[in-house]
Amino acid sequence: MKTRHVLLLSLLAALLLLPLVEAEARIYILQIFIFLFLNIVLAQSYDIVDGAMGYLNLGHICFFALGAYSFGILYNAGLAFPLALGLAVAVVVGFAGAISYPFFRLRGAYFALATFGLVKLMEHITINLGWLTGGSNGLKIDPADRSMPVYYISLAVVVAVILLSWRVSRSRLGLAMNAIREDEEVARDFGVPASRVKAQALMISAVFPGMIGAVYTWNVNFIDPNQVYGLKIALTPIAMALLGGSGLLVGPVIGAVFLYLAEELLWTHLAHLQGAIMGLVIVLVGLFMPGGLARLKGVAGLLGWVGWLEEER
Amino acid sequence: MVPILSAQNVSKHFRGLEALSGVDFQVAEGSITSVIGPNGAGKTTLFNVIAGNQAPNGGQIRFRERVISGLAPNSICRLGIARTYQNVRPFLGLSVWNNVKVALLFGRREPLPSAREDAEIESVLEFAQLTAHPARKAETLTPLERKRLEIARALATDPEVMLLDEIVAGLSPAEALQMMETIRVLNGRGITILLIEHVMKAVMGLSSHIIVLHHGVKIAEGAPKDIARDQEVIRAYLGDAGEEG
Repeated sequence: MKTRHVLLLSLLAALLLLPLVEAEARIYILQIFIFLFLNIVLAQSYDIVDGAMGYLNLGHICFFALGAYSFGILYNAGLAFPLALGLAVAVVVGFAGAISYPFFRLRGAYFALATFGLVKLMEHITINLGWLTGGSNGLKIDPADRSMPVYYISLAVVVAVILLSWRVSRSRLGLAMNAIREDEEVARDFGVPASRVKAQALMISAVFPGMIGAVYTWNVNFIDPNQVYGLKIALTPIAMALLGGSGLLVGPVIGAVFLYLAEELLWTHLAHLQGAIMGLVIVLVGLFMPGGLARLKGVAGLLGWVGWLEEER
Repeated sequence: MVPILSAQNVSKHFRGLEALSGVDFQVAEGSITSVIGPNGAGKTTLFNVIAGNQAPNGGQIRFRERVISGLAPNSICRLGIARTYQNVRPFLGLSVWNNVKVALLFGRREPLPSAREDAEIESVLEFAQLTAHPARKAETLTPLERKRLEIARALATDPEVMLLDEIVAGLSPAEALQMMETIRVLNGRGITILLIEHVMKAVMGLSSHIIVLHHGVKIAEGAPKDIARDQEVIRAYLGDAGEEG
């Protein structure tokens, strides 16, 4: 077996065994990992559209929030967990397909700005559909501690999103997305059906945030618009993907782990500044480290040595 | 015989500017046909209209009997019309191999069985003399190599017609001769060539038929030797002796 497989499997084994360790603060520790997984899923799925295709989808969090709300509503209507989860994902993917046509007529900064506006729009719609969503009072589901199943499901979603990103990056669709990133007009001239490819990419990138949004509601038992559509949660995955190294499979994971740890360790007292800090991270990375952490010489060397740095195309 | 490519009364204007007005032409299958004309004559606009990048305001483009004006560029490419760009436009961040692979996977009428993809990419790269470093990113290529990549990418779509936009211009005399030979070989493979070119030596040496555009109007067409003697063409290029006085 290759080094990278050994490393990956031991890491996975450790994560699988973690909840079985008896500890006083077990639930607290599980929750820390659950939120780390959440961040990895959001950052990694965000990068399917940005890193591979070059479109900055600042509204990526809408998929998460819509998944969270759809699940909550369906679950409260009496649907079983797996069914509510599946339907919530279907709603999110349908939504991604529906917005892809109008939004992908825009490019560059216009696309980024429009998708950013979508977050606010969705937040207001959620607030104003009080009969369905509970409006600004939020949405409750029957409360319970579900840390254990949530932990394992979240871990499974992390594995799934990484595997899928990897599959896409090596597929025909992935190559079409890369061509669009490089020059969309030329891609079209050489037969790439760009509109269809972009819609497919957006729908793929929506699956996992939708899923993890549903799991989020199941975990925290209560959501409100400010929480799931907030500036902080909207910008964090993007900051993570860019900081870690957009376009590389390991980039978003590295960024998520790094930023999440930094946040947990250092910034607990700066709650109100976090949105601003994430914005600052995005700007600073863009200015001084456009390749992200994973492309720094030392880090890239280490990643290459363990075999986690894929060839770029 | 039905021409492989033809235009009927094609017009294209940008606001007030008439880039093409009422242009008619026919390209015979298997020919090398050139489009010449001074700067701003509408040559590249004509290519853009044929390739589907811009819809004409009037008139029709036909590929054999089929009207193609109004189709999307990706559909036109799949029908068998591939192009190169005046200012080369490789996918800079992709490897040479993947530049060709995009065209091969998406630009062909009928997809190649996946077992034959790699061999086909190799043969296209070999034709374009780009086999040395297929994993190199296109941004590391020299200008000449980039021109060859344009050819390779177009060839990978297995086209019936190639639109070559100033592929010889900017090359050294030796390179230009080589490129002309490449064009001849492509033509020899049965690909009809439509050429925009400023380098007269290439135009005269290669073409069997020449179309002359001036201010968006076709002012002449015919065999190279007739075009070289055509008074109106000479006036368009050199201006009136009277005006200059």
